[in-house]
Amino acid sequence: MDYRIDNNGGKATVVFTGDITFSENVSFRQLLKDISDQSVEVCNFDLSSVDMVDSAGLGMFLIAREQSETAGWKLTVSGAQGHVASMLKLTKLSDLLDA
Amino acid sequence: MASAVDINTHSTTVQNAKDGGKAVLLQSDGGAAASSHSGRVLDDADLKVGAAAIQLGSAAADPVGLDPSGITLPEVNLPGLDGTNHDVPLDDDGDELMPSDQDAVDRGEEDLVKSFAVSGGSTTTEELTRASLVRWLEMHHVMSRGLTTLDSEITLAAKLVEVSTEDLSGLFHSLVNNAQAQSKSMAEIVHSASLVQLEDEVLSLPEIIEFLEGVFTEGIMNVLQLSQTAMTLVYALDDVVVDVKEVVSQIGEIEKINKQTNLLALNAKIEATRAGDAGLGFGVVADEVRVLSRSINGLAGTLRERVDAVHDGIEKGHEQLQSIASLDLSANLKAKDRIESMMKALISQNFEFKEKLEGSAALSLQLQTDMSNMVQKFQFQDKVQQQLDAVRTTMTVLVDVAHDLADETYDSTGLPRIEDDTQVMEEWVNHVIKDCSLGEMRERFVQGMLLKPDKSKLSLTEHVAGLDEDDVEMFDDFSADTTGTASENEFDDDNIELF
Repeated sequence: MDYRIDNNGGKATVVFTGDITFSENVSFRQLLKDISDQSVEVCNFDLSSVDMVDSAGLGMFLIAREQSETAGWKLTVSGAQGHVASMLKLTKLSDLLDA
Repeated sequence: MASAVDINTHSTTVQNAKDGGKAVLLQSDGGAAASSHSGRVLDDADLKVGAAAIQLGSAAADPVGLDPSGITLPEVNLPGLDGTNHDVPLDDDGDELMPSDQDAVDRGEEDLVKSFAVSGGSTTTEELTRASLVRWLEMHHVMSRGLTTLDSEITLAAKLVEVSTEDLSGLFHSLVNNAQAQSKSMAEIVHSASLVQLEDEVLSLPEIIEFLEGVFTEGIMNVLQLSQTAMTLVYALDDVVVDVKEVVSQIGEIEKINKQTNLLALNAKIEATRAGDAGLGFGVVADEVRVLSRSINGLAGTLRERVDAVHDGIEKGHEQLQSIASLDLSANLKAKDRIESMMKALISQNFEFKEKLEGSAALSLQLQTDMSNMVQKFQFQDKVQQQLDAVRTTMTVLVDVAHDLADETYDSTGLPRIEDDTQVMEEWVNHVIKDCSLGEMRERFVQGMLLKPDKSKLSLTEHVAGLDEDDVEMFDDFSADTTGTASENEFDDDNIELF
């Protein structure tokens, strides 16, 4: 998994590429650290280039959501397709994350 | 009885003293005839029977006013009297009303010729009239028997209609009851089609599907929650691992310092030995420092071992959490999609099933209504019975009138009574029944008209009684009857021949 953060005046967009699985937990934690290091009001996870997400990846999304609530910024997701969209729908994360 | 016969070529007048001077006129050329009863005068009640007035012969006016209901008697012809008026009397439709086949006519003419020959070619008008009266009496005899037999046939037909109607009504009542039971079963099926009984609880299919979906979603959410917790633990353990690595590093620093200390103590010991007695005390201190250094080195080694064990434990926990957090939900996702599809198909199928059952129940209800209406239609039998009773009563009146007229004829002319078993009567009967194709009815007719009333009546009684025993085959073997020849069916063993 690779990611890129585009921060535009507190409205950040994280563009993911690749799969989001357990093996990416270190990178994802670094992402959360990078976000907390920036002044972010709204952060959108762009999943349009993500092919696969497992339960660990969904768990990491929930950790990000928990962190956003703690830090006071809003997390949204967008661009989910195929398997990723089905997973978000199945777990109702699409409702929680304003997908 | 004092009576006078006034015979001319066109009319016969009979006066009956018992009627208290009431005159009865038999008018041969006017087409009208009337009679009074012996001993009493006909009234409206006698003749107004049934809803319809029976009119026989021409519709000439009743000369004595005895027929307020419009009933008139058949035209009485005197064959051979005028050379032109010996045709057979016809009814309103122009059909023959009484025996008039050519043989009978010829026979009557032959009798007249014989009579003429016997009288030496000087047959009188009185003789010709007498022969005609004999023919009238023969006709009356046959018609009286025929009407009596027809009365029995009407009774038989009415009984047949009654029994058959009761049978059909019973069958349709049974059909209505069955249709009601079917409608009830349909309603129960429709009601229970979408419900499942679970002990004391009744659940509909949508409720079951909603329950299953809730359970499935809850399971998924639990997995998701578990994944989040696992990832939180993973991150926490990662932090612990960092701390453990720091501890290990610090232990290494301790070991490094302890090693330097031990080396310093060794150098101190060497220098103390070199100083001789002056360095003895310093040498003892250096030995103690080395002992302490070895102890510290031992503790550091133990500490490193324990920290390494903690690190190994954390690594194993990390792996376990990975297995927990990395569940692939693809199979669950497919399973949920399939379950949802199956449930939707089940609901759709159940809906269609319910719709069809409701349609079938509606049809069954309509069928029940139709059959109830059909049962009501069977009430026509009562009306038929009333009409047939009216016909029978009217026929009885006609027979009585004819009897009275015949008695007056016998009394006034002194002619002998018509005998039953004579050749002449047999010819009359043959003529009457020649067109009767119904075998059993023909047989009864022969019995009744050949003046064997006891046997005929017994047969009718047995027959009517037999109708209650379901031995009337109305439709059974119908194809066989229709394919058979007329001669084969003419004298079969059926109690009733419909066609």
